[in-house]
Amino acid sequence: MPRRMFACPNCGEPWPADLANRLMPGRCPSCRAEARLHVFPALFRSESTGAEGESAALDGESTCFYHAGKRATVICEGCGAFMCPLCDVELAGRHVCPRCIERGQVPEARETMIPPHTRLDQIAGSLGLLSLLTFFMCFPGIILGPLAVGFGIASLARPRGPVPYVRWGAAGGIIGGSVATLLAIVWMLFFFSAFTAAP
Amino acid sequence: MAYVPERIDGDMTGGRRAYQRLPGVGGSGLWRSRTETWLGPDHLLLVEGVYTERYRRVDLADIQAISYATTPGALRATWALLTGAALMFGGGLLPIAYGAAPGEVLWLQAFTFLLVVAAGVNAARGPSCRFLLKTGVQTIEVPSLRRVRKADKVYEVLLNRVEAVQGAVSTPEAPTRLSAHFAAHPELLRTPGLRVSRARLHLLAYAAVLTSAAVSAVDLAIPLDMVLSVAGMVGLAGAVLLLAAVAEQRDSTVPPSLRALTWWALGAQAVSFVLSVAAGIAIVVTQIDPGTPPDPVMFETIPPEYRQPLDLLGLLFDLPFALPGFFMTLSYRRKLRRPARDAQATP
Repeated sequence: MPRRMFACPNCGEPWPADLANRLMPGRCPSCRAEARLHVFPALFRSESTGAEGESAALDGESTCFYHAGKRATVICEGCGAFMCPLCDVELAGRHVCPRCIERGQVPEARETMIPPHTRLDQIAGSLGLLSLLTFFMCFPGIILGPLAVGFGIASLARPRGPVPYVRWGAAGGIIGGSVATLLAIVWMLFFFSAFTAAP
Repeated sequence: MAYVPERIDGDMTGGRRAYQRLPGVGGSGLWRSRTETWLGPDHLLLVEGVYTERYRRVDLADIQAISYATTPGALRATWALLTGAALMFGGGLLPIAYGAAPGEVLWLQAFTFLLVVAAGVNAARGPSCRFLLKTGVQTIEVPSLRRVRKADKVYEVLLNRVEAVQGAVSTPEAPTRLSAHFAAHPELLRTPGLRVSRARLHLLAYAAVLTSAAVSAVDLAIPLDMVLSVAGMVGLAGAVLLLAAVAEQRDSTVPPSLRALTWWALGAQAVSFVLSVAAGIAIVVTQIDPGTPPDPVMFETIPPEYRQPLDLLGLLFDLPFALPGFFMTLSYRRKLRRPARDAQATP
C-alpha cells in the first residue's frame, strides 16, 4: 500500500476528517481497521517553498549541472559545478550542491551531520557465534575466532554512535572467539595426534 | 537513492545521554534492515541497520501528523502457522496409519509443537499495524512499530512531546481545520503514483513452478531418480522466487488479482512442501527400511509406486496456480508494453 498520510495504511482509502484527534481509536470506514490519526499545528503552517529554477533563456547561457534546462546562478564551492537555485544548499555561509554534502566533501557539513556508524561490536558478536559454530572445521575456527576477538577489542576502543548501547556483541566476540580459537587448536591437535599415532 | 545524513545540532555526547529508546525493534518487509526509534530532546531519531547504523532525524517541530491502522498480517500469520501445525500433526500421524509404532514417530510432533508455540507467541503479541509519520516533505513508515500495543505506547509519547513543542489542535476543531486544509490542498487526498513493476519475478516464479509441474508429470510417466531431484530443485527455486515476488509486488502496479494469486501460490507451495516431506517420511519409515531413522533426503530411494502420490501432490498444488499466474503475468506485461508502443506510434 502506498504511503499516504490521510488514507488508511491498511486499505488505502481516504479517511474522513472527523477521524482526526479523537481521544479513542476510530475505525476506517472502508476496511473497518482500528485507526488513529492525530494532526499537529505544523500541518496548518504556511509552508515556505524553495526557490524554483529559471529556464535558460538563451542558448549561450550556463545551465545547471543537475538540471540541463535551468539557468545556472551559482557555482558549488565544493566541486565547482554550476547550479540552479533549486540545487543550491547554503551551509555555514557556503553554497554547495547536494552531491558534495552526500560525499562528505564539505568540512562544515561533516561537523554537523550524523554519519553512518559501523557497529564493530555487532560484527564481533556475529563472528564469535560463527567461529563457535565452525570451530570443528579447524581452519574457519582458527581464522574467525581471532577475527572476532580483534573486532571485539577494536569496538571497545572506539567511541559509540549517537545512541547509547551496551557492547554485548564485543563481549560475545571476545569470549566466543577465544573459546572457538582454543577449541579449534585442541581439535587440530587431536587430529594431528590421531594421524601421527596411526600405524 | 543514496543516503544523505541528517543534520545534528549540539555535541554528540550530550545528545547521546538525552536519547530515550522507544518501544519496538524490527524491520519492514522480508529483507529490510532492523530499525529502532529513539527520542531526543527535540527530535525523533530512526536508527536503521545492524552492522552499519544509519540515522534519520525528524524534528518534533516538523511533525505534521501521526497515524496508525491495524492490518491483518499478524492474524494471517497465526492462521498460517496453525494450518502448518495441523498439517504437521496429520503428517506425523501418517506413519502410524502405515503400521509404525507411535513411539517411533513421536519426534515428528516436535515440529508441530514448535509451530504451535510460534503461533501462540505471534497471537500474544497482538494485532499488527502500520505506523506513519508525516512531515512537510515526506511520509515515513516506522518499521519498528508493527504491533498495535507498541504503536499505542509510542503514539501517546509522541503526542505529548510534539504537543509540548508545537501546541495542540483540539478534538472539536481538528475535523474543521482538516477539512479546510484538504479543500486548499486536494493533492493530499490524491492517490500517489505507484511503482511500476514489470513483474519479472512473477514471470520467473510461475515459469519455475510450471517447469516443476511439467517435470513431475514426466516423472509420473518415466520414474527416474534424476527427474524427481530436478522437479524438487526447480520447485524449491519457484517457491523462493514466489517469496521474492510477494515482497516485490508491494506498492507496485501489479494488479490485485495477480497479487492475491501469488500469495495463494506461495501458500500452496508451503502446504505442498510440508505434505511431501510428511508423506516422504511416512513412506521411508514404514516401507523402505523399518527401524532406521527417517531421513527426508532419501526420496530417491523411494520405489516408483510410492513416488507417484508425491508427483500427483506436486501437480495438484502447482498447476492450478502456476498456469493462470503465468498467463496473468504475461497479459499484464503485454498491457505495460502497449502504452509505450502507442506512444512511439504517435508522431
